[in-house]
Amino acid sequence: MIDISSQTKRKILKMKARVKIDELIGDDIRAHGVELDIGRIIRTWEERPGPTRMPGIGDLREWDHKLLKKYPPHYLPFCDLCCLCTMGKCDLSRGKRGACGIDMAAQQSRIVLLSASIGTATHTGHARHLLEHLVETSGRDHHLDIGASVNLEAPNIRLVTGIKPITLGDLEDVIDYCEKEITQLLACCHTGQEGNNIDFESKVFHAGMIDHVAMEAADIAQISSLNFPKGDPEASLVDIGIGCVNPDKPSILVIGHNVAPSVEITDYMRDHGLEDAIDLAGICCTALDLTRYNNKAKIVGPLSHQIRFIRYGGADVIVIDEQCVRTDVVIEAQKVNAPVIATSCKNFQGLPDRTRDSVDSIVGDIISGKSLGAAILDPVKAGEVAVRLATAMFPKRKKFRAIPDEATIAAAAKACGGCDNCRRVCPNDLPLAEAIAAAGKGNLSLLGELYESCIGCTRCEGEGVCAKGLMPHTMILGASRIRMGKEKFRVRCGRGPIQDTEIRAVGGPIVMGEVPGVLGMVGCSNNPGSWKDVGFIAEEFLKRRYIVTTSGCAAMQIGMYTTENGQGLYEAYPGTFDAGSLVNCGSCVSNAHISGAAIKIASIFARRQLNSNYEEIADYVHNRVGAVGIAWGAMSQKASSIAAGFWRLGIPVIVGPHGAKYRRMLLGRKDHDEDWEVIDARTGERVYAAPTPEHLFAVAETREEAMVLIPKLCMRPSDTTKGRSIKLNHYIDLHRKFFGVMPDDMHLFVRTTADIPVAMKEDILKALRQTDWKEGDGRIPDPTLLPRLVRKGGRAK
Amino acid sequence: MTSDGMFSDIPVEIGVVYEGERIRKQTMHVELGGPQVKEKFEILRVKSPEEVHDGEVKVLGPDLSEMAVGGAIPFGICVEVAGAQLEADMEAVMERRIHDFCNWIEGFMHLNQRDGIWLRADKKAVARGLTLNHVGMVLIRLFRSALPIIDRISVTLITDPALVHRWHAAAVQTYEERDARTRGMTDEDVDVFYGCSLCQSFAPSHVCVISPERYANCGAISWLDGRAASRVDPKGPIYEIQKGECIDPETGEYEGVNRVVKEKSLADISRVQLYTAFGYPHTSCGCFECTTFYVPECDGLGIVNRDFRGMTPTGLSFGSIADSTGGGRQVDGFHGLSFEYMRSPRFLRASGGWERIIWMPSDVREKLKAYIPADLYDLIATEKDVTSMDEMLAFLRAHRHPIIARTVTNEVSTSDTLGSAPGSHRDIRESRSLPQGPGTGVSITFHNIRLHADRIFVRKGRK
Amino acid sequence: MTSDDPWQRYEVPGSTQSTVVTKTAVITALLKKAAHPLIVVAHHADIPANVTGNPVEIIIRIADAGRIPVIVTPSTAPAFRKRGFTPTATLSIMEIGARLNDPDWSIGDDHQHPDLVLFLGFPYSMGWLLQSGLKSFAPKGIRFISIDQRYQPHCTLSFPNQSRDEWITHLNTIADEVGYT
Ligand code: SF4
Ligand code: SF4
Ligand code: SF4
Ligand code: SF4
Repeated sequence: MIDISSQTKRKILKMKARVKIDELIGDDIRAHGVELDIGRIIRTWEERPGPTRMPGIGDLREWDHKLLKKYPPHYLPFCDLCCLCTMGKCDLSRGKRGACGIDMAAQQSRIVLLSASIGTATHTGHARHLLEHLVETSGRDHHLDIGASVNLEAPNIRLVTGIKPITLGDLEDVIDYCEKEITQLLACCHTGQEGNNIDFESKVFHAGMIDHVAMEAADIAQISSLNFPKGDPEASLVDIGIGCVNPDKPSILVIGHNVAPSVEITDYMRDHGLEDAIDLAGICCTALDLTRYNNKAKIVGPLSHQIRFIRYGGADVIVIDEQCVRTDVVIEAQKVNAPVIATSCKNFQGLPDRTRDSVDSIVGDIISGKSLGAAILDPVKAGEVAVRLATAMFPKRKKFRAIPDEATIAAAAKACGGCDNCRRVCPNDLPLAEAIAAAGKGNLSLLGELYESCIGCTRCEGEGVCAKGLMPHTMILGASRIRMGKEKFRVRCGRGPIQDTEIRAVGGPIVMGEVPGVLGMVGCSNNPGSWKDVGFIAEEFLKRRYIVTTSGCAAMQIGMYTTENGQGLYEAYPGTFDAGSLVNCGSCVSNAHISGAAIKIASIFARRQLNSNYEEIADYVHNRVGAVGIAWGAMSQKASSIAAGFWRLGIPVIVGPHGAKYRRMLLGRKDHDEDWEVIDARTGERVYAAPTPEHLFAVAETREEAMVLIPKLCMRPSDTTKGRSIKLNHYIDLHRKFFGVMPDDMHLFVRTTADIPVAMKEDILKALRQTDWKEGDGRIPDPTLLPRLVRKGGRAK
Repeated sequence: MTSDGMFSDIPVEIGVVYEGERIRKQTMHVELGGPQVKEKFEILRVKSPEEVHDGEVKVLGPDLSEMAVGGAIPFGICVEVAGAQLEADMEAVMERRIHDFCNWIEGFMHLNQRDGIWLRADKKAVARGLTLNHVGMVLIRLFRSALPIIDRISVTLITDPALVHRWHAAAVQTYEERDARTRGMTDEDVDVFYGCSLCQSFAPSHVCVISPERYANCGAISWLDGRAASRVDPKGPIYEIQKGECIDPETGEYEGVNRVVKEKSLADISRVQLYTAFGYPHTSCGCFECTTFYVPECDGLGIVNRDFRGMTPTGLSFGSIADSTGGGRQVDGFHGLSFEYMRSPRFLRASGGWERIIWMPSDVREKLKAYIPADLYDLIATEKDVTSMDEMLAFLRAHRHPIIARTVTNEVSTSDTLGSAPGSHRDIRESRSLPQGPGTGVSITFHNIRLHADRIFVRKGRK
Repeated sequence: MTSDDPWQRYEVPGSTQSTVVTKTAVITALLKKAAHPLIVVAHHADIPANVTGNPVEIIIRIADAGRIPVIVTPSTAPAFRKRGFTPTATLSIMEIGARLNDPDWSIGDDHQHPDLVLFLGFPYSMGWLLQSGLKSFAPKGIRFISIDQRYQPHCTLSFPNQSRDEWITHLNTIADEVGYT
């Protein structure tokens, strides 16, 4: 017998390589000079693979086209021109085509694809770097463990790649696949490739699907290796806000998304008994992930808090990794004498690579002022340098600030000529001139009020913007100095995945209408107004017993909001995946758990096969699972790829006004009855199922519009009467609350009188009588868009 | 603004959005009922049309504004309804809506039911003019709106302690009579069962059959609930099943049930036996509170609930066990259950009932203590007694669990003791090949393999 | 009236941009000439103005005088209803864009696709993007006119950047002029 030890077996499995046996002598076999070439080893599991294992860019085209027919793209060109190749620039406006033949629609979709591919590449790149590091520290054989109650550990990965990952090493195969697909997607953006806008859009969806796979891989790798909360509804509450960072202690600020350096900083502090001596705080997702590892760490805030906190002088050393890091971070840090340590080769920021140098020499050079910082690509070394620098810089810097006091601002403000130039470069069109004029008269409150709606971009301070040399953003900060010192909130640190048992437990309540829908509140801090709008929206739906899931900067902003009686939302609402609960999954990569929860529903309740079965599951989710994503302050390309992943599953996404700059919406036409037919899988008949959900990607003009849209987009063709009636209840109620009257399209959604919310029945019936509403026969279809799913006995027509 | 139209004459808003509203002591104007007062109740009675003064609200005793702030007073709610389709049996179901409807009133909170009710009115609401008369009006309108089968309705709210005392006694008597009636009700007593397809929105081939002795799988709908729901919305997802001829009283198989299940599951399922875990068990979707799991070593069944975080002695968690059933399938020995069904005298009767149960989490066992035959209670192992199969078998032997005798006498047959289920042998084999934990053998399939060997020697037989 | 750069300096338009219209008479004449005019109003229209009233009131006057259908966005509708005016339809900004791009879509008593559209009350970048989309994707021959306070570069015609007082005055003039027959 040949007995290959399991250790060797594992190695062979991973090597995908060539085995050469010169001589093999066993009980039953003898061989000489055997060469075995193995391309790839696939571990099979209980479920048989479905039709699309590791789909390529064309494999789900048919499904995408189905969705895109229902939700055709509506374009909002950012520019009339294309400047992608040297035949250009080309004017594509008003029906013209470029020198390569492309038209405006395809060009817009191409840019959307580019954006989504960048987003996907960023998560995949992040996953790859993280994985390389974790494989090094925990070993390729590290058994993935993301919690005993999470049986379905990787719904996105299982669904798309057919892999049921067991070890960290398995995730490498997953990332290999993602990288391959991104390469193909990027290739499609080349001049003279894809020319049809709908085909471009299908590729956008593909990028999104890949994105969720990569995010899932990254998050389960870090949850498992770094022992983050494993689907724990009671994950700790941690501090958030500028005021949480103690000015009397040395402090380290981490910015970005890859948690590895922060982990090493924490470990170094723990090993040297410095945990209480130094404050460790973060901005953006690194901060969220750091608190999953170390619940004593603090979160400063979302992206918009970056410049603010640096200028506030709160950081004695700044450690950056990747994504959403201000690209002027070194310049800003200089203003407050804080050194910068770069830890990712994706983001050197011009700093010298000191990875191979000794810690002493790096620290020495920085303290002496010889260098502004260093790039250190070894997280362990970066961790030590950061801690030692923080201690050394603290007495030197004395928390030096670059924020003027009130008197200085008031004096400077007198120079303002009210030209409005600063306002005209402000992305939020903030009334700076008015506020500065008031400040000149000694009233700083108007400036202070802008603190929450300023996204901290510093465009108003750009070269040549103000002829008088004023710094409006700095003045806002000066007027908010005191408040920044007091800014303290609590946020529940990322819990990771949703437990299977939690999903089972809400099955009944969803069917019975006790849970009207699931919200995913995600995205960045590019809000059109106050960041508090995010918490405001969350609170309304928590009160209405929706399940509110969140991640990334949105999760932070929800924390930075208090209820009427002064409570934080994470303190007021539990963290279980249940009615009226607020579920912080974690960082951007944790978004995969939100899509994952929708996918799990199909597996748990309908026992649909997940393995390589994307189309069927997307069809299930699209027609049944009342989930909506809302990215009020979406800014990044990653936000676009995250959204695209939801789109391919047929889950609608709402963005705030700045989201219109993603250049295209996916809007349904409720006035086209024929667009809303589904196939009843029981009979094969096509039946009208109302615009449920009406849009796949929509921008809301105001937060109120978004809030009315949310319950509307939670409706699905399969809603039970109880479910539909509660969804309608919230839709109509919110419409009345914000817009004063009942909506004019209720008649589309009321199938029978049993769908009508009890507490509004008379009023609704009265309104329905004024339309051509007719009561339906009460048959709720088993809805699908796929003729192949029509069951035996039925016939697709 | 929410209450323009239907509730424009009520000084506070009405809507489901207030359902989750909690009124704390500091903001409370007064407490009605609740733990501090001895007598409180709510009751709904079905009357003949001439007995009900349609639309009438009576408040007997002082109204909210006349009550001392911060106090607690005895309280009673009596709703009287009449309607051609209404029956006394439906009273309890309709009565439970009082809870929902009171909670939809802004600044008004309702907890518990029957003679345990506990209500609070908020200071702001009372300041805005909310009276008990309004509460009565709201109840009437919501009852009418939700249950169009109500033709006439009146509401009496009682705050006069002497009257509460008098009405309370009558209410308690009614509760008792009702309970006695439902307790004794068996599947044989009725001609119709109810079917529920609500879950088909997520599990398209699952159908629940609800009989007096078998709650819906989710634990949320009793036979009486089903009856009321099917009356209120005859086109709805809960409908009558004429149970038809009884094919087998032991397993609970009915000709009418089979017909409807076959139709509603689109022939995915053609037979259902209500009291068994083998052969043709009732299906489940995925939201079940508990599930059984088959233990082939002793032919017994374990029960594990959703909230149980540990491992069963088979080494599988609730999650992995639950994964092997659900989705509207029939899987031998793996049977989604509601707590309510475990309280039924017919609980898995055809599969041996409680005698077949060998393991359950300790808190579940405790919770069901009153329903588990006393002589069996201690014989059922829990996670505190055993953690592995070896320990389990030893425990069963040591405690002389009836399953041991059964395994000895029934060496071959692993099917039901009563009315053996066809095909169960095959199915048991299926359940044995359940997903195992990691570390099982590896099987390898090669595709497109090219093997080049200079020399191969194969020797037959061992040296 | 002042400059004709985009109000938001970095919203740099493309190869063509709106002609600045400073004479209200031009707009009035086009409005009168149009067979199927339409007014689209977003929520920035509802700002308290201290001169001669609120833009919403002026739009109502224009609509009434010219019997012009009005589409408003959801957040704008209450300002109209409060003044006793029922808009012809309520649609979100992007829904309006999608419908205007569709040659088969129609509105108003005569059920026609509009041939002239007036825009007012748009958050600057949303207006900019909507109109950029219309420029390239709407059926040919429709006149898009922005009568917002700030110059919008993607229409056929647009008011220039102006002070609020100037703006309100111009709107009022249009309302007066449309009234004369
Ligand atoms: S890619 Fe095409 S449209 Fe763009 S610049 Fe080149 S030729 Fe012109
Ligand atoms: S820093 Fe703030 S005020 Fe300045 S341009 Fe950016 S958002 Fe506007
Ligand atoms: S650019 Fe300068 S002068 Fe002009 S309004 Fe702004 S601060 Fe005042
Ligand atoms: S949410 Fe947006 S801004 Fe925040 S870290 Fe993620 S991508 Fe960056």
